[in-house]
Amino acid sequence: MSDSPSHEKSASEAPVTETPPPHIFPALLIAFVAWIVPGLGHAIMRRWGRGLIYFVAVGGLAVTGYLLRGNIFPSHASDFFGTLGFLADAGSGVFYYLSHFFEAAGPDVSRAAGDYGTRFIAAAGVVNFIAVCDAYEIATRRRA
Amino acid sequence: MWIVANLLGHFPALLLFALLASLALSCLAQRSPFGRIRYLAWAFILFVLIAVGFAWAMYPLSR
Repeated sequence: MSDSPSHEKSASEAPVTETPPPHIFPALLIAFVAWIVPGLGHAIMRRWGRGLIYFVAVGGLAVTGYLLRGNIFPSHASDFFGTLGFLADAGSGVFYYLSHFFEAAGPDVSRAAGDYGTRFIAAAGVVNFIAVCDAYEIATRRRA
Repeated sequence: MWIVANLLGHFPALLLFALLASLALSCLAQRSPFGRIRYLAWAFILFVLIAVGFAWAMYPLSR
């Protein structure tokens, strides 16, 4: 059945529709944009719903953490855990740089709410790092 | 800011954290809308149950 002459002819004359291999530079650029503004990398690739969900999730976690007056780790940390905290906090991109706007009074971890806020801020950064990886994989066509 | 810090108690903070984290994870793990909603519900319930379970497990240490 499959080796009929008509079928072979149609298969051989069919146009080749191979997709070109993805370039690494646009994928890295999309990952960078997705880090700076959570969800924007997905929005650029027309994944509007996913982009909106990541923006709401990361923004909600980060802003709630700031309003709870969580600790924000600076870039010049003195110990290893401080560096890890900075990396987690900086993962939320633009929200990290807006932290002084939302948390004008500074952190207050003497209360439980401030300690919760620290976890919210770190979780926002980690979630955005995962979203950046997702955007990069979509850009390199490893994921749909 | 004062309102958020004072109205968002321990358990509401846990619920909000569980909701936002499971929302992002469901979006990452599933591609179909139905799969996302199911994953979101499961992740949310597990976040809350495990947190409450750990809280009760640590309760004797506070005595």
